[in-house]
Amino acid sequence: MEFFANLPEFSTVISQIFVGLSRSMILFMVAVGLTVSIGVLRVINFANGTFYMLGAFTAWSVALWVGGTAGFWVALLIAPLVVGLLGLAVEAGLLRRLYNRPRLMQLLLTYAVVLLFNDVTKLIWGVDFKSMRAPLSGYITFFDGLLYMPSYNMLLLISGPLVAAGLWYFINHTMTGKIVRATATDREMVDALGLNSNKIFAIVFMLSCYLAGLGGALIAPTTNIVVGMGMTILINAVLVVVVGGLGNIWGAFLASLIFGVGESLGLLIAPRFAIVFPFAIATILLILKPTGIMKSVW
Amino acid sequence: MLEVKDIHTYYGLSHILFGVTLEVRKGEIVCVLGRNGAGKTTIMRSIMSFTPPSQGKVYFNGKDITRLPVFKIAKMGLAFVPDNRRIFPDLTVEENLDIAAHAGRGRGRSNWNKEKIYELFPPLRELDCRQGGFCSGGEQQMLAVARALMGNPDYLLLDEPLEGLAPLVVRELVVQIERLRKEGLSILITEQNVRAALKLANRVYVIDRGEVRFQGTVKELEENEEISRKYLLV
Ligand SMILES: Nc1ncnc2c1ncn2[C@@H]1O[C@H](COP(=O)(O)OP(=O)(O)O)[C@@H](O)[C@H]1O
Ligand SMILES: [Mg+2]
Repeated sequence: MEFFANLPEFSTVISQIFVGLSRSMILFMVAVGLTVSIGVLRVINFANGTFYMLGAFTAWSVALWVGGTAGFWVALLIAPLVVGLLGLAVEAGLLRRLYNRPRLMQLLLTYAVVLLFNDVTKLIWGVDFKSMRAPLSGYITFFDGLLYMPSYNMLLLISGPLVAAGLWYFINHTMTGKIVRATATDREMVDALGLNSNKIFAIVFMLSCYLAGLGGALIAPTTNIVVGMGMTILINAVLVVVVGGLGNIWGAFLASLIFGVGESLGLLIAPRFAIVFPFAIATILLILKPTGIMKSVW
Repeated sequence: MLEVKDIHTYYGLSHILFGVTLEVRKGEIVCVLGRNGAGKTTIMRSIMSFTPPSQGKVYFNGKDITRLPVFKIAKMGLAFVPDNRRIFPDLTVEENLDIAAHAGRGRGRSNWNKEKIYELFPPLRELDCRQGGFCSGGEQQMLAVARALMGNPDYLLLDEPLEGLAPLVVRELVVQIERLRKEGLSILITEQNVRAALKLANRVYVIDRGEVRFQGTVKELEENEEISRKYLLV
């Protein structure tokens, strides 16, 4: 009975699922920005992972500068804003000129932004990885030890639904959100009503960068902050967006959960193959439902 | 006053409009008649600057609006109702009206609100929560006009508003359009359906292959059989 002896304990499995869930919230924040800019701007923003990375580096610097436990909280507030504004500059300065061009041009531009910001990051922060301390330390335990995980992951776990709920409210119940939905289907008619769809594009792009930056700031205390982290998450986020249905916020949420949990269970069962899991999950889901698990806007 | 002066418009390399000149004076209903493919929609797209003319000018109340951004032209008080309606399909009927009202707040002299719209188009009241994409053709046409009105425009551009509607709906819409003129709106309509349009129009332009072939009053057009035979389906 060797085989069973190797199986992890039940409580380990439960805890691993929750850690996976908490990490999937971060994936969601990057993926949702990607999916929203696909849905509204029809631009595949390769730089979204880079904005996530910049969120982490900026958070690191702000936390260091402010110092103490308060440092992290201030960083959590400021870093996403900085990244959002940087996104706005990229949209207004570069991307805006290419909306009427072939998609390949936009893709190449966002890829150029990736290369540019990666080098700028190396110039500013150097090539060594950075790490910062979580504002919450220790573990929390639920149900007589059946579920235990780092306290900080609890914060991550809460942040995802909060962001999703905030987005839901914005999209469905604010005037700007309604205009965003209208712009997603018919930009020309939005202009014909006398609304400047350029502004809506800028807001949406800025929002998607803000969310990526927020994800980066939130993940910063749990990981080595390196330049490569942007591409790693971007690949997973692209898979999430495709599997979730292009442009569908709830699809991105659901797919993020599936990826997060799937990956952490995979780590538990076959750590050597962990890197394959996202692709395996995406392949299976796409075979089952080639158009994505929820309605795609394209 | 809306003045189109000698405009030439292209889609890419294809030359569509060849020196079109027309005007809509305040309080008028002007009808542009022409067969399918004559260039009616292109005239509207040129005015709204969706497809700006590469030669010639468009003036609105004396101001040159040629090649201004679309949203600025709309803000000045020109509303466009496209032939395929282009209701926002994912927004409810009410939301379609809401964003138009938001866009038109503080604009123009007329003061359209939802109550006034429902009075003009009673069926819309019942549809409030329905998604635009699930409305029937007639409902979408009403909603498209209603959405344009919510922006409080002074001028309305209606591209084939009666096309594809049941005869009963056509009759109703003609009455409503007539009412809008009485409220002080100036209206440019394109049509292939000559008879319904002539009931409404003060003046008529007939276009064919991107050129104006006739202009005059409804009575003058009715007396000119040659024009009708050559350029219109009657
Ligand atoms: N987007 C386009 N690209 C190229 N040609 C077009 C386009 N839209 C319309 N046309 C051409 O322009 C001409 C005029 O079209 P249009 O203005 O739509 O006519 P109408 O509204 O009178 O039916 C037609 O010959 C049509 O084929
Ligand atoms: Mg047409």
